Amino acid sequence: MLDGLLLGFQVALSLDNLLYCLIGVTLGTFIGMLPGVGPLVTIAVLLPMTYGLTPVASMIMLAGIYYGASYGGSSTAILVNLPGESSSVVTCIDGYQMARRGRAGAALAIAAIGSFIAGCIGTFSIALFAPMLGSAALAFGPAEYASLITMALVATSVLVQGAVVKGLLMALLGILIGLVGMDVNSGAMRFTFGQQSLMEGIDFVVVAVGMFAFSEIIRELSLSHRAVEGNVKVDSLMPTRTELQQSVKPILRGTAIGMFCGVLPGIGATVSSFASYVLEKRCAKDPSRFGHGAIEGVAGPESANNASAQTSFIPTLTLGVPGSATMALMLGALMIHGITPGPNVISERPELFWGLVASMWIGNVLLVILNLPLIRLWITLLKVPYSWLFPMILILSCFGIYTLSNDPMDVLIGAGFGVFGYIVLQLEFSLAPFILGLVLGPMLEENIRRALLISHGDPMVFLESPISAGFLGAAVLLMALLLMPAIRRAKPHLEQEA
Amino acid sequence: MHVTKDSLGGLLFAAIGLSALLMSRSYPAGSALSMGPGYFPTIVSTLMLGLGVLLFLRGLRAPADDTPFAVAWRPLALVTAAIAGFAFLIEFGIIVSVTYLVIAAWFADPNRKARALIVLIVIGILVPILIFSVGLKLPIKI
Repeated sequence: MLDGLLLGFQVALSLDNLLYCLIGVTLGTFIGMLPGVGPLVTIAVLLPMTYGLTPVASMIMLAGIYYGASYGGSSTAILVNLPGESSSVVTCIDGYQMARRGRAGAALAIAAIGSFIAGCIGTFSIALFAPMLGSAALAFGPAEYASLITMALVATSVLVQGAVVKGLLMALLGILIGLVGMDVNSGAMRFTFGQQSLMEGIDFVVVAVGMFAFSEIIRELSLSHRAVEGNVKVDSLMPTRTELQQSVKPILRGTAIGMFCGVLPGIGATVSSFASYVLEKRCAKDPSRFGHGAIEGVAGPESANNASAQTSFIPTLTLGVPGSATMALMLGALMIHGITPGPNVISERPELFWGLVASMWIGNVLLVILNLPLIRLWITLLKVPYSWLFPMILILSCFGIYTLSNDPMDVLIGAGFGVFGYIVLQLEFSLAPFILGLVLGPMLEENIRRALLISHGDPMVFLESPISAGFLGAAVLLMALLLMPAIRRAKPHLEQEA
Repeated sequence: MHVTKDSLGGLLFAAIGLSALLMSRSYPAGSALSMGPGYFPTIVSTLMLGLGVLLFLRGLRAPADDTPFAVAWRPLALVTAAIAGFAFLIEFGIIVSVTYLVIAAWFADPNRKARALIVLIVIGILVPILIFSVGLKLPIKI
């Protein structure tokens, strides 16, 4: 592990990669603060531009956007009671109350310190556990993989907002869209409608931009936007000694919750921040302080969401199975570069894995430096209205899609996915299972095919291996649990993971 | 009987599932031992059809939604028209296509201000030229 980390820092500290890390975290902080523009939209829009970068540089930048956004989201939550990201919703409760009592600086500092500590522990745990998980996964055969993918799809589908059936339907549709084009095994054309441009399949970027950028713009334009009040005062950034003491345990507990939630499919930053808030309230000697500016209510959730942002990379990088929509986009970015994510990545592309891990630690340092002293600058940027942003997002998205293969047809297909995405969002379907299905669908088919080939067509192969049976059992159990009325009623609290 | 989001969504997905199923049936299915191109799509679209019908039926029995299904036609139509128009105009170069894109999108903005439009067009033309032509050196007509 030490050799790996050394290699990682060599890669991450090269001037180019350092620059992309800085760009990523700066952009992440910015969009994290802006309501209406999240990491998903940003990563989708930037995907086509990463073609020109090395795989390491593009992963470093995109990852920076993702965890940078969780830092930025907390600042707006505390200062103006507007969560820039869904993972900062819970920070509004006590963070804004602290700001109203004149402790905005302390709240920001604790959020940043908590995030930083969580980020460090999270990064360290990736370095520690990912290679272990990776080598365990090397023993996985096609049957185990098919079951693992099925479990990831089911878990994401049933845990997102809305009915279980709706999540599953979106996952199935994603799988179908992923099958469009020529079947690699038989050469048969599937779902191409005789169209030339569909023969090579629908580019992942086209679908991602259409579903996440276009549909989101349509949706945002139909909502009325709250103007941001400008009179925010940030006094001293130094927390008092008592505030620091009160925060130590919540930060550590939040980190633990976040790390655990991050590796599970379907549960991510948002859920972990809620879980941490509930836990802190329960642990507190005087729970009535919560809601009136309790610093524990900032320290815990902010640590939790950053820890889970870090550890969610573990299954993505080691198993090639993403647990959330953002991670699915990351995986797509890797595939653009011809890298098949899976347990072999760590051994075959050590510079990629360790470079990313080291850059995440560097990124966390950069974020603390960027956020605290520059907070006043960030607040002025907050006033950029959506009227200025969305035309730029549209332009970059259109060019991004068009430049994939200089085919205007791709732009039209993207527009189609924008309309479809908007309609299903209005029907209260979630997009996360769809994008997961899109990425994992072809892998699922291939692994089922191989597993059945090895077993001479006997479907029992998925149940005979204990690991495979375990995954399938977990999927069935999750579905059964979520269909129970008591839990179904409690589910609205599990906000959709961005 | 009333229309709910669930019944509408169920209908939509059942329809997609049914058409996908019909198409999948025309591909050779093969056997479990050697899956043909139709094997996996048939399973997926059958599941989709089944779950879609289930959602539809459940939606029919469910009480009315708190907020009924609504579509913001103006931004939907204008943004889509902006993107589609861009696809047809891009062969005439960045300046033409971006000018159209920004103007069409501008009309979709409920808070639009006339003086912002010209600035948006200028920035909108400069940014892609800088990123894609100058930065990434892609051959796009300006």
